[in-house]
Amino acid sequence: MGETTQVRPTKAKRTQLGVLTLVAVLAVVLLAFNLLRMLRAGDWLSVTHWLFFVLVAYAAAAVLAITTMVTGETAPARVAYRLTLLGFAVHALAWVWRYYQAGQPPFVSFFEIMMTFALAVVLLLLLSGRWLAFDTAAPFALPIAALAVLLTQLFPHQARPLVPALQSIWLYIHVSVAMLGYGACALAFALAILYLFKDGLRSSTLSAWTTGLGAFVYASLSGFSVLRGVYRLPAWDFSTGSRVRLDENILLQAEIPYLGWVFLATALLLFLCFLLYIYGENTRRWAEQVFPFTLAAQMVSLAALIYAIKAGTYFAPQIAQRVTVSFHSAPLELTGLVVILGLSGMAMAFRAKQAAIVARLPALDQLDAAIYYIVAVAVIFLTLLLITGAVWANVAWGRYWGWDPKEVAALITWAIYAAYLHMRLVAGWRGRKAVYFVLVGFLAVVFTFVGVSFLLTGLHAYVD
Amino acid sequence: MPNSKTALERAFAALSSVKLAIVLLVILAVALFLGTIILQWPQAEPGQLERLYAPQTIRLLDFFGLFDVFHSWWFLALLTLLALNIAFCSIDRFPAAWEYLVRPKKLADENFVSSLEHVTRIPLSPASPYGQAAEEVLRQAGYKPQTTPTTSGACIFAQAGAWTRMAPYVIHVALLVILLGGFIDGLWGYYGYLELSEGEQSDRIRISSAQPTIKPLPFAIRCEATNVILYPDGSPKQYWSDLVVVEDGREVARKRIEVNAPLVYRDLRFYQANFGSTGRAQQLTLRVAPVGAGRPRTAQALPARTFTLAPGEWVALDADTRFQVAEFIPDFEVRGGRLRLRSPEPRNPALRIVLRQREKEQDVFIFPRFPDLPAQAGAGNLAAADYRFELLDVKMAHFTGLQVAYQPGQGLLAWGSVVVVVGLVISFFLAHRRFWVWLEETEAGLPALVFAGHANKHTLSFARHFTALSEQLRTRLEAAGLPAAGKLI
Repeated sequence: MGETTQVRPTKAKRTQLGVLTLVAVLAVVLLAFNLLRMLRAGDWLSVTHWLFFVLVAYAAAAVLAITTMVTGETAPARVAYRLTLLGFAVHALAWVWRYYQAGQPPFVSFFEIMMTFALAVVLLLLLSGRWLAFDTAAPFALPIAALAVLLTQLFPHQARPLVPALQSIWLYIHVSVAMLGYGACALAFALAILYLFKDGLRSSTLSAWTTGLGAFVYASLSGFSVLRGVYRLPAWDFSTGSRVRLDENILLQAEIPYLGWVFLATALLLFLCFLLYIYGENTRRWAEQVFPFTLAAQMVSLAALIYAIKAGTYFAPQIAQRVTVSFHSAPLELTGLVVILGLSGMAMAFRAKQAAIVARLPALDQLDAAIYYIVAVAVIFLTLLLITGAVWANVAWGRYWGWDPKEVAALITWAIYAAYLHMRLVAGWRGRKAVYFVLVGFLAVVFTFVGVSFLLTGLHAYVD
Repeated sequence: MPNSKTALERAFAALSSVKLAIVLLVILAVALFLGTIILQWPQAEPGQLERLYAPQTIRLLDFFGLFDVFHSWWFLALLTLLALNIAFCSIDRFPAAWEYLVRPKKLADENFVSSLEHVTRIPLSPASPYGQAAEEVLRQAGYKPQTTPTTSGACIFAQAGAWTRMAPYVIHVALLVILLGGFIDGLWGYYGYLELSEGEQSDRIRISSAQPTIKPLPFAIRCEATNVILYPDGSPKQYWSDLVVVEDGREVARKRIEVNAPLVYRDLRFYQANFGSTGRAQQLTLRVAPVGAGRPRTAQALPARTFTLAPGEWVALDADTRFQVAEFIPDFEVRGGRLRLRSPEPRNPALRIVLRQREKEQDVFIFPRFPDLPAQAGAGNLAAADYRFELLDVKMAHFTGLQVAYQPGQGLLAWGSVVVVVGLVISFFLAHRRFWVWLEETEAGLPALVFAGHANKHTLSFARHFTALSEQLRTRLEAAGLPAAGKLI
C-alpha cells in the first residue's frame, strides 16, 4: 500500500485552527498593548501590569481549554496547559514581588485577595493534574482564575500599612487557609458543571438560566436605573486614583447618554429569550432563534460601554459639571457583564456540540468521586478557616465569634458543603441533587468575597 | 405485620435521619444568610435601622425576629435541634461501626465475596503452601494476618485502619462539644469595658448587655501609661498600654498589652480596644521671656527660659515671682456666639496662667494658635504682664479603653476544634482495608486460591494496592509451583 490520500481537514480541526489563530492574534495584540502601556509609563515594576500578562495567559488558556472540550481536538488543550504554566510562573513572581514591595503579605486589600485567590485556583488545578486531567477541570476553573485576575486590574492596588488588628501571625495562617479552601471550592465548582453536562443537563435549561441571570444583571446596572433608560458611572479622579465621594454614602455619578437604552434593550431581549425558554416546548424553538441575538446584543453593549468609558467626559447632574470616568468606576458591574457574556458563549457552544462534549467527559461516577474528594479537602480547609478566624478574632478583638457578616458568610459556605458531604448517605440524594449544593456553595464563596465587602460593611471589609 | 411505632420511636427515628441533618443545615444556611443581608440590631448604630428600612419593613421583619437573628429563640431552637440530630444520628450508626472494631469479619465465603469488587483467583497445585505464601505477602505489606480454621481448610484475614471507622463519630462528638462550649459562654460568659486614664486604677467593669451593669472584680487594673505608635503617614501602627494588676493591695502582674496581645489574669482577658486623649494636659513646656513693663522690647532683651511643668504646678521665675498654668483647654472654638470645647486633642489650645508677685496676682490668657494676639490680661492687680509666655509643647494625658472578656467555654471550644480537624483529616484520608485468603475448588476439581480485598474509601488507590498484592502473591506461589497453565482469573 503506497497510496497517499488527501484527507480533507475535519470541521473540528478547522474550528480548532481558527480558534488557535484568533486567540494567538488577540493575545499578541493585548501583550503589545500592555508592553506599550508599560513603556509609556516607564513603569516596568508595576504588579498590576504584570498581572495583565497573567490575565491574557489565563484567558487565552481558558478559551483553548473550552475549544478542546467542544471540538475534541487535543492540541488547543496542550497549548492551554503550557500557557497556564507560563502564566502561573509570572503570577507567582508577581505575587512574591508584591510581597516584597509592600513589605507585608498580599493578604489585605481586595486587589491582593483576588491576586492570591487566582494563584490558589491555578495552583490547585496544576497540583490536581496527578489524578485529575487538566483538560477536564480547566474549561471552568481557568475562567474563574481569569476573572479574579481581571478584578485585580479594576481595583485600587496601592498597598496600605497594616492596621494594628492585622499585625499578627494569624494573618498568614488564616488567609492562606482561606485561599486554599476557596480555591478547592472553585475546582469542585468546575467539575460540578461538568457533572451536570454529563448527567444530561438540557442545553435549553442552561440557556434559560443564562438568559434569566443575564436579564437580571443588565436590569440591575447602576442601581436598576437602566430600567428608566439612565446609566450612571461613578466619576473617577485620576489624580487620586479613586472615586469621588460627595458625602459618606454618596458617590459623584456621571450620566452616560444612550448607554442606558442600550442596556435596557439588551436586558429586555434577554428577558424575552428567558420567557420563551421557560414557557414551554413550542416557544423553545423561538428562544433558540433569539439566543444568538442576545449574544450579539451583549457584545454590542460591552463594546459600547468600553468605547464610552474611553471616549471622554460626561455630565454629572449632582454638581452640574463634566467629569471623567474609568474602568475602575464600576468594576463589579463590568465583571458581571463579562461573566454573562462568557456564560452565553458557553451555552451556545454547549447547544451546538452537546452530544459530542458529553460523550468525551469522564464517567459520571468518576466525576462524582472527584468532586467528593475535592470537597472533602475544601471542607477541611473551611473548618480550619472558621477556627483560625475565631482564634484570631479572640486575640485581636476579645471575642471569638461576633456574628460579623464575614464570619457568618464563611459559616454559610461551610454549612452548604457540610450538607453536600452527607448527601450520599441519603438514598436518592446522591448525584444530581448533591451536585447542586456544590454549585450553590461556590455562589456562597463568591458572596463571601464580593457580597459582604461591597454590599455590607463590617469589621471584615477588605476595602473601605 | 404492621409496623406500629410509638410516637417516641417515630420521633427518635426522625431525629436519627441524615436527611433531617441536611434539611437543618439548609435552613441554618438560609437563617444565616438573612442575618447577613438584613442589618442586625446589635451591629447597628443608633438610628441606622430606621434610616435604612421603611417603617412597614421594620414592623414586618421585627415580627419574625429578623433584626436579631442570632439571639432569637427560633435560631437557638434550630441549633438545639441540629445538636440533637447529630447526637441521635451518631448513636444510631455507632453500633455498626463499633462492630467493625470488636468483631471483625474474619471468615469470608462465596456469598460475601460475590459482593466485593476486588477479588483474585489463583489456581494452585495441590502441594502449594498457599497459607504461608499469603501470610508472607500480607506481613511484608505491613498487615498482621490471622488464620481461622474452616470446614474446608482455613481462612486468612488481615486488616488495617479499623479504628478509622470511629473518625466520623469523633468528629460529631467534637462538634457537639463546640456547641456546648458556645452554649456555656452564652449563659455564663460576659463581655465588658473598662476605660482608664494614665495613672487611673479601677476594679469595676461595665458589662455590655441589654441593660448595662457594673460588675466589681476581685482585683484592680491600673494603667500606668498608654500611647499610640504612628506610621510615617500618620495612620496608627500600634496601640499599647502598660497595665498593672493589683490584688489585695499588692502588684501581682504587669504587662504591656497591644492589639493582638491581651492581658490574661484569672480567666479574664483584657484587650486593647480603644485609645484617646482625655483632654487634660499631663505636661506643658513653656518659654517665658521677660519684657519690660511699658517699655518696648529693646535689642537687649533679657534671656528667655524654658520650663516644663505640670498643670497647677508653681514655678519660680525669680525671687519674688512665680507662675502656674491654672487652666488648659486643648481645643476651643467659637460656635453660635459661644465658646465650645471641640475635641480632646490639643489642636487649638487656650491657657490661663496665673502670675504671682509677692502678694499680687495676675491672670494671663494665651492662645498659642493665635501668636499675634497679645496675651490677655485677666483678673488681677498687677499693672501689666512683665513676662511673655509661649507654649512650646504639650503632652496630653491619654486614656485606654479595655475590652474585658470572660469566656468559660473557651477550653471546650479549643479542644473541640482541634479534634474536629484531626477527625476530618482521618476520616477523609485514611481508610479501613481488609483482606481475605482461602481455598476453593474450581469446576475442574482443582484447588484455587481466592484473594479478596475491601476498603471503605479511596477505591482507586486501593485498587492499585490490591493489584500489587495479588501480583506478589502470584509470584510467590509460582515459585512454590503453580500449574503450568495457571492464570490469574
